[in-house]
Amino acid sequence: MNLDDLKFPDWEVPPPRRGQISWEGYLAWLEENRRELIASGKLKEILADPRRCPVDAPFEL
Amino acid sequence: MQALFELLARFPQPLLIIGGHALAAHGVARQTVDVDCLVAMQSREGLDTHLRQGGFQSAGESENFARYTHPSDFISDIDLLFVNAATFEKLQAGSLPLEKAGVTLRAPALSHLIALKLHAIRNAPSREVGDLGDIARLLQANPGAIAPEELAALCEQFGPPGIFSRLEITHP
Repeated sequence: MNLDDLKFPDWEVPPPRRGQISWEGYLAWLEENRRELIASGKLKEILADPRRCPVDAPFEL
Repeated sequence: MQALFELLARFPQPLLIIGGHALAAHGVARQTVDVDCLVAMQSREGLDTHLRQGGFQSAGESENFARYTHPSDFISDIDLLFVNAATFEKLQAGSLPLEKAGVTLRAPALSHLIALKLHAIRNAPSREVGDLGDIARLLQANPGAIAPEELAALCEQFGPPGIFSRLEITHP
């Protein structure tokens, strides 16, 4: 396996270029994508994706 | 999005942003449709009240996890992971700020974020593709920040068997 084999889910879009990321810019990018997902009707499908399953095992350091 | 983070920032007890949003604190961006937070178990009841007052409703909970949704599609779900007080203190001590327009929250240190992702893979194997990818991208974006011996130790302590080898192939 290499990094290029780790596919984003098909609903993802290319992220901002590395090195240009601020949290503020990232949030603006997420909002734009969410609007597109809502408009395309894909959001509900994504929210039902089993890969969003919660992790209930206790985490301890 | 701004309103959601302002709501979280107004919670009087400390919390940490984990999951996809926390990646941005370490130079990695990817799409996510929810906001993951980590809080101390003793803050659970207060945060439940705080989120309900902010318009969120419970969408399920278990011993160490709770999910909240908002009636608006434009506002992300909030997933909460609860930890004991000692663990929270360690995570908070190493955390770093996430800032946007006057709102400051905090995200775990790189090694702690990787530990959380390894823990997720160990306990929910279906998450491996996504979370392994996140770890690989974190390592790629922060060369030298985690020594190979430290990564091996994290994999041993928090991850499933064989995960270090799979990461080595992904991120030699």
